[in-house]
Amino acid sequence: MSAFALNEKLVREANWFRRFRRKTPVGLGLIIVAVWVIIAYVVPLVVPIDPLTTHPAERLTPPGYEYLLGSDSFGRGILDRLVGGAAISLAIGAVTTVVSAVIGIAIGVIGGYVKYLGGLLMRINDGIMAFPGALFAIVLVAVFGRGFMQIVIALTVIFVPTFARITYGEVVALRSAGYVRNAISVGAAPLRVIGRHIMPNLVSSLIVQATFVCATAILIEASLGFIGAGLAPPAPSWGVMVSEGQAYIRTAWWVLVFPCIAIASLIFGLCLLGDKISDQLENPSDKLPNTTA
Amino acid sequence: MGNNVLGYTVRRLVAGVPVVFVVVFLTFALIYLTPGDAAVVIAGEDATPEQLEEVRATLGLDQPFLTQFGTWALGLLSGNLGHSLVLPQSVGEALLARAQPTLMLAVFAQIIAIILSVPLGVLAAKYYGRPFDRTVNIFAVAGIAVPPFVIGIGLILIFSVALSLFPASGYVPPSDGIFASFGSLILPAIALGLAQAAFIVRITRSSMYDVFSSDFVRAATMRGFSSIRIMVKHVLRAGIGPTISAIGISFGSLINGAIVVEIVFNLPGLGRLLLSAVQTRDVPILQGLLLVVTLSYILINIATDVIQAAVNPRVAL
Repeated sequence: MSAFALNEKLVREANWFRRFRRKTPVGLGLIIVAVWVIIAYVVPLVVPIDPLTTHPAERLTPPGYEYLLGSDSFGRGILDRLVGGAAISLAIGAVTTVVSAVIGIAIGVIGGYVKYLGGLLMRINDGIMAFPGALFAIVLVAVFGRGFMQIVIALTVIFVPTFARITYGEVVALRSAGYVRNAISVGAAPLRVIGRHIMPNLVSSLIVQATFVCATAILIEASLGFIGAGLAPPAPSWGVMVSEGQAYIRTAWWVLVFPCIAIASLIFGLCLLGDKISDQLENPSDKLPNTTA
Repeated sequence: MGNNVLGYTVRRLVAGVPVVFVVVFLTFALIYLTPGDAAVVIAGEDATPEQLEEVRATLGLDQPFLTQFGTWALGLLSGNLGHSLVLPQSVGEALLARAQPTLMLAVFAQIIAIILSVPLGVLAAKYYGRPFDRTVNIFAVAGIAVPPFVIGIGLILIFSVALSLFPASGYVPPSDGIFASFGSLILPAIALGLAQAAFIVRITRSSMYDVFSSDFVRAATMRGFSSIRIMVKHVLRAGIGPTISAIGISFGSLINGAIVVEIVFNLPGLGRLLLSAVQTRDVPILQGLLLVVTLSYILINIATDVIQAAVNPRVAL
């Protein structure tokens, strides 16, 4: 290998690394989220996790050797329940985000492309967005029923308009852009125009939105569980755990404090991650920090 | 200009009509979203056919859909939200009877949020990128991330359990003593206010940062105006718009948060009404609460836009 080629390879690798750093939102947020994903989906494969079996003789054990984070009023390990709850929270967040993004993008694209439908769809969209999210979720779940799927459907109803509005705005703006009209005039099919020319402009803002939708969905699910309008006990939803723990606020702090920390840390991680991604997308170049201010 | 603002108000109200229509329609349609027969769901599995008939008649479920919607919507226009299925009250009476603690909590929390967030946001923008700004920003992200009910529990642990300063639960109406009432609301209001403040701080910080780095502020600095004068006459005037919008938008999360925080502190407000309606599937109460809250939210947002237009002539009138 000649020196020149080696040099070029090194440069290419360095560039690749820089680009990787720039494009990957490595930071505290990603680490927190990754840790929770591992806790929820990898740990149960290695260590047996039992969030449901009750041990009446061992109720309210303080954190220690037998129960790392203590046990609750039914003698169930807090740690086991936290792991189970992480899986619930992450699943609710992920499924809601993906489903509402797919439906929302489809509605936005159809609305943006079919003129006479656009106005109608966006009016309905505005109407749904006018409902305060958590309240609407509580009412929808009360009407649908308190299962996992029902909660996901309720949250999807709430978040579809967010994605639909962003997509619609962008599609309408880009439809008259020169390069899109060129693509249409040389005979590109609508699906190709959307996939190749419109969607790439949208991906970044949709990803940022998706992290916040995921965080909000997890927050609403926890709130629903907490007030007793979401998943019903004995499901190890973090919100349910906090609500059960509140009775022991003066006697067994561990029942209450650990689920609170779990909720706060996961949502905090997702928010940090969303912030990081949006910062990186707004400043894609390796600019020096802005010194004009 | 006064005339312009009036015209703008009218136009915003007219533009809100389709949204209100969609909201009213969806709220009405909720009863049709119940899986299976709504009457069975509401009356319970073991209801007799007579009871089912009665529920159907009360809710008008035996009428055609559009007739039902028409009757219901006309009732709304005269302020009639229907009758609770469980409580011996009309929906309107039930809401009014429990509105006070929720409204007190919401207003109190929003005041705390504004007092806290606007100065912090402006200062963070002024010291953008410095340690002060970074600290404010971390707390702002944390305030958005930590749900109000978790903040509430933290406050109970510190101020009620550890320090015994404030009660952990219960509500004292202002008629039973202003100070006791204040004491019963202070922790819930802080819990909710911190979450609200976090959102407003972030908006204020970024809009004020744009103003601080703009030419006219630098020009004013170079002319040697005092920093207080620059702050009040130039920065705040130019940058307050997004803050006003943020305060308006945050009323949605204020109501959401108030309902959940009420449960933490066991306040007898709309949150408790909502919860009992959820447990008994009292659909008229659910519809009434959702509708009243959402319509007030829409009105507040229109009012915010109007205030913004009045304050800032650059908003297209």
